[in-house]
Amino acid sequence: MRRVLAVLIAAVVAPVGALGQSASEVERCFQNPAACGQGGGAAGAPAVGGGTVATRPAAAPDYTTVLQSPEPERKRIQESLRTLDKYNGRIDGDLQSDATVKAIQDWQKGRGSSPVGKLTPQEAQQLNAEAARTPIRRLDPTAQTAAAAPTPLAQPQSNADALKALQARVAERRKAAEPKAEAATQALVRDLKAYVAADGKGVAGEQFADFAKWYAETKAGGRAVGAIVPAIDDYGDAKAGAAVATEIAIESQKDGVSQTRCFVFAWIEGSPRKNPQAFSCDDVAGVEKWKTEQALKSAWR
Amino acid sequence: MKRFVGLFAVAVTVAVVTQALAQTAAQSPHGKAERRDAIFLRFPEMAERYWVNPETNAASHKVIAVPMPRQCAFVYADAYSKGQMSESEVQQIALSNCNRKLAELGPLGENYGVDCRCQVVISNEVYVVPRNAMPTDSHGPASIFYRDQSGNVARLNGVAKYGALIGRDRSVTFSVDNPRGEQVCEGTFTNEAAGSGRFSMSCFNGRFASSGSYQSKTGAPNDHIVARGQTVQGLPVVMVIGLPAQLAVGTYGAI
Repeated sequence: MRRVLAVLIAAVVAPVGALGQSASEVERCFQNPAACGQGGGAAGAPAVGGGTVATRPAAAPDYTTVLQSPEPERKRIQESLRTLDKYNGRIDGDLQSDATVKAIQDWQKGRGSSPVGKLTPQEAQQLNAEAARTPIRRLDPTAQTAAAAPTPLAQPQSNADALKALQARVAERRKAAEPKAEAATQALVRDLKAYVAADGKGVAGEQFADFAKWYAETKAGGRAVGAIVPAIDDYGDAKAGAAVATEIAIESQKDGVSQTRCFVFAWIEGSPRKNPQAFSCDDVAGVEKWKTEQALKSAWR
Repeated sequence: MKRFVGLFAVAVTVAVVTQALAQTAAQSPHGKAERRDAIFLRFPEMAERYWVNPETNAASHKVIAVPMPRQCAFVYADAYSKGQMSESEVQQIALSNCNRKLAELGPLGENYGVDCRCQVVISNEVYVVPRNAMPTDSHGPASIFYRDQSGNVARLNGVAKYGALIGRDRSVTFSVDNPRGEQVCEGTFTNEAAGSGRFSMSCFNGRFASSGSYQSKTGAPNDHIVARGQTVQGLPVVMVIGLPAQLAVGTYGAI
């Protein structure tokens, strides 16, 4: 009776133990569960597909096939490594160059494989598949808020497509905004020059107190104002009108020694300018806060 | 008089446009989003921002993007308008943020046999994709690490599906598919405390079984579950749900 019971228990327990619990067998079953029951304890059988054994007894891996594969296939491997940010060298099909071997090692390390620097056919296939599915690293976050054209929702876009579309829209929008932004900036430069020419009188000083203060200090220090060089920082629609932020470098000289002071002038277009404010170019947070307060929707970046 | 007529015309136009927009939302072929929809149950922090938090809930445009198809929806991005941003701008932000999250987590090719791509799924409380395409369960990339008696390590990558929110239900079932979409493992998480409990798992019709404890981890790089246990022979098993294969092996692969 005991013997019968033992046989029965063994029969019940057997399925659990039958796998042999070897890592390679577990991998094989994971990749192909339908064939799992076949071959029982085929421990050590090669894994099929994605699984990787980190520390496995050597089973003479086939590295020759990939090394001797046609040039286009070898180049594709280099391109895949480049896509995965592992390789930055020439696409010449040389899989034994130092840079390529290192790139393969990096890729193998990243996936927990032994970093031998050579690929089995399976690994090559996995590498190419991984690269084909890899999206680009990131979208330009500053471009995200600038795009305005409606997004078609019917077809999902890839990252690369989305980025291209965004960049195209931003460029188009910026191009359209350029004449107005340029005109507004040149008008400010004229006012600044007029203020300097009038020795501290004019709308530029009335509107931009910090600039007026700087001018007074410069003048008191015996310095002469020189070149005024603008560069548009941002432009777009805001809640009160068209908003402009322009970086302006103003040169001053004394005894042949030149200094440059950098301001960001920000205002809403109008006559007179609305909500004008001058910031030091270092005060990035202040400029961005002003833009947020104005609800600026950038058409510039 | 002309001014009066002009004002009246403007008022009528505004009323007609408003009504037309309202009808568009109500008559969306995919229906209106609801607080109890699976996607909001799956991502409670997003649901809080979308439905409760007055700063975001009151936004004029609210958009949610997730990777699709449904088994890819293990990350999300929600975006809310600021100032006078248009709906399409908010959609762009949600889409870009979703793409960025995916890119930062790394490639999914070892887990998924499908191409996961971010897509706007809800815009202004209306589904912009068919409801039946949306996930009804929680999904995430899954990796199982197992060290056998010889010290060899198996690394199994696929996709996990679990039926409910871990942490609220006492017990939830889960399954793991290989990248070919074949179900290979099934198991149970049993909640014992907030975000932690016990798990048991059986793979290949009971030929590989393990059990142990699990813990839900929130925050960077992504919310995920890590389960640590043993086989019936006492050999170590680690399962990670919510991190792509490379990230999972880098974080938990050294068992």
